[in-house]
Amino acid sequence: MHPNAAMLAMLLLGNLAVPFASAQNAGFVKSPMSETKLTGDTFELYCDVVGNPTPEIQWWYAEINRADSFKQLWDGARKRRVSINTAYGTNGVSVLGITRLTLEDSGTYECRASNDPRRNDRRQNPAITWIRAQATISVLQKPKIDASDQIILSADTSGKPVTLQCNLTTAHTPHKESFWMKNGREITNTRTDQMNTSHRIIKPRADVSGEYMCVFTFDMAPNANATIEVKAKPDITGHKRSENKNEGENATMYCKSVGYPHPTWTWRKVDGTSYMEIDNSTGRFFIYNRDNYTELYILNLDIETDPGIYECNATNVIGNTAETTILRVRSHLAPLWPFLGVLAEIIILVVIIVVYEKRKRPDDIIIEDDEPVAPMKTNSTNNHKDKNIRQRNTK
Amino acid sequence: MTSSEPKAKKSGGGGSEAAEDGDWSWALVGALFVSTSLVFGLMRSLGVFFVEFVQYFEASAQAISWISSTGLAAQQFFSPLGAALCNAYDTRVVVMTGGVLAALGFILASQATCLVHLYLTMGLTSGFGWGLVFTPMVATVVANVTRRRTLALGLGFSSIGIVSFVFNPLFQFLVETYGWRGALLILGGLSLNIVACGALIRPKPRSKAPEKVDSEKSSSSSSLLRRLSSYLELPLLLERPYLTYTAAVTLLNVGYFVPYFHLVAHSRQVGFSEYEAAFVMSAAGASDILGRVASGWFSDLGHFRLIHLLSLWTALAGLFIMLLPISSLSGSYSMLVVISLLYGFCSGALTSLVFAVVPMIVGVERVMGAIGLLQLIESGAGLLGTPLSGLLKDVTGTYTASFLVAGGFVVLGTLAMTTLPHYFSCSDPPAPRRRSHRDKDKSLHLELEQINCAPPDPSHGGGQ
Repeated sequence: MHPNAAMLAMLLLGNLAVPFASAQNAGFVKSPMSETKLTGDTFELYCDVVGNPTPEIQWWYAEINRADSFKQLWDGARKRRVSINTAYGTNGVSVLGITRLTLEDSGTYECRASNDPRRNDRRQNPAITWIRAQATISVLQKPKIDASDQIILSADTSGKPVTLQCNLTTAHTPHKESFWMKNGREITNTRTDQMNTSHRIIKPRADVSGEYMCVFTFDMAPNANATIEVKAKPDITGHKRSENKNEGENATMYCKSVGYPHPTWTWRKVDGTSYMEIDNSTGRFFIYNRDNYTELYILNLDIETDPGIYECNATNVIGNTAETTILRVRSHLAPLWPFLGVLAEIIILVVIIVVYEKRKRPDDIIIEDDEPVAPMKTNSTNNHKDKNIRQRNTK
Repeated sequence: MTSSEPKAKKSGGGGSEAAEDGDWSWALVGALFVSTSLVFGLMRSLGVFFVEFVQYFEASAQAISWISSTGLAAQQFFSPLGAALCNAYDTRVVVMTGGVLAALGFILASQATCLVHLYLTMGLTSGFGWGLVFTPMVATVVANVTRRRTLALGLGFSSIGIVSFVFNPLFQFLVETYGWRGALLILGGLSLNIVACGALIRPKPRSKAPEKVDSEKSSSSSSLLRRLSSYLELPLLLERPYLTYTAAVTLLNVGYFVPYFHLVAHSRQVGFSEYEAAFVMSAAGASDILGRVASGWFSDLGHFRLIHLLSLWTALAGLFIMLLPISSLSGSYSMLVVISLLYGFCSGALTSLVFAVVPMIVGVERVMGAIGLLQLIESGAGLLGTPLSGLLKDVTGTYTASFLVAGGFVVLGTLAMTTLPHYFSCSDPPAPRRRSHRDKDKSLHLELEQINCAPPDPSHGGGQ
């Protein structure tokens, strides 16, 4: 053969071969996983595929034990309960989500992917051109829990014990045990294996309020729970009664509360009987709010305008409470006046004492025998004998 | 006979004392009351400031507590210096200077910007001022008040307890209204009242001064040293009675403060609530005040020798300190309160007497230096006692050992007191005077006047 022709043939063959050599068959990085769900729940299936070119992903469904009749799912199927989100990048990623599950949603869900250019050709057997991964979704009837209504703690019910009750009325699988949770955390010593469980709060105070959940666990099914809200008016548990700071310093006033639902906080300045909104024209006031805590921060205190009574107000659906803090600003010169007053008092006292003394006994400074403290350290002389006699007589 | 007995006894060691405790003497007692409250009462009520300091200087509580430790240590250390200055110069001037220094310390402290400033001002300067005030005031009262000496001392020292009821809320109010800087400034002003107290002391007649100097060679160093030692009354350290007494008081001080520091913690540890523990402390404090005044009044009635009464109160105090942990062992709260009340009474009672006994031992004219040296030496005991009790508590886990050891030291002090010369005689021995032949004359006269149930002694001449 002519060498040029051979080269041309190799080139042509090479060209034909190139797509097949760089083409990579589709393969699953992540396949959908089987799950058991309860009616009314939501589930999501993930499918991640690699291949070159990026494979196309489809979702198919077959009822249980009907493996021969797969039907394709599309976004918005089953009265918009089905959502399919697919992204094609270097990989193909697709998420199948179904909300408000019913018993009829049980079945086999299949993720199909292919990058074969002939995949949609009717004459091809899909079993060859598409790769498939399956997951079985079982939907069980959600057990019915009879739970007590929400409780609102108020001043007149305070002191009376409160009971929350949960009754598992219908269950399709045997249950294991039940326990209570408050605000997402399990309450200790509430685990029992009764179908009827209750949680008793003996002394309801504001901090007892919250979101309570009774949880039933099952051997072969996911947990079922019911929520009971215990609501109360917020109760302010911590605040400063007074804040005394020097001029120019920064003052911090805070309020802490307990109660559910979490309150919204407002700060006001109390002027006698009327309320004033805090004037932040000087930009020195900062308020920081969190669920059960609020802080009013004042920079660079001004002795003219800042002192006064500040009120923090906590409000939720049930009611509101407020507490006040007195802010006092001390001037730098304030202590000078008492100090000068005390100084004056002492000077007057000393002057009085010295003058009184000089007047009453002006010659005492020279006379010796009234001075008992003076130690006599000298050798005696005859002069002192007189004194001895005098002393003896006065005894 | 008996009516003149107390007079003879009291003036047995004295020199030229006032015949009656006149109005001026009681004015002195008032001055002692005020100055003691401004020294020790103030020191005890500084707790309010310490809370502020911890927050402002961001220091540990231990670093802050050094302030009051420095102040107390300075007061005790400079006591002999204060006594010497009074001997050399005028008591009135010394006390007034001390007052000014104490006030200056607080005024400067109000401007402090770091912890070291506080140590130097509130600690060192004020402590130095207090040292110049306390010993001279006590010695002046002891020397000037003769008939009701112990009562005067008791009344003067009761101020510490009484005033602490006033100072604590007052300081709290001052700190809240003026800030700690303003409050310290005002306290400095209040401390200046010591100057007014000092003004009440009669100025020393100038003619006395040259008598102190034995020789005319004032420029040579040996005579300077001699003068110095006479001002400081250092020869006292060579006298056995004084040394014995000082040792006894030092032993007493090791254990005396332990309940004050540890009673509340001990009560809480045994299981009583905070309020119950605080009440025990308050009860002890109240009976302490009562004990000071009552013991002062009783001692002056003259039925017993002061040294005997002192040993009685110290022995009882030591006993009650040892009983404190045992009473709470049974878990009975009322027992603990009763023992604390008794302990408070006895410890207050002995406080009035401690300084009143000094002139019996060293003579009235040496009282100034004697008390100064006594303060200095007993300060070491305080430094030893509290850490030791803390150590015992750490090692054994309870306060029982601390209290027992503290009570033991107090009882040891009592035993040391019994070794004083003439302890077991019924009347006070003649107080020693400076050795001069004039004094020998005097002591002969005094001995002639001694009422005697002392062992017969030919020189006594058989009493009146």
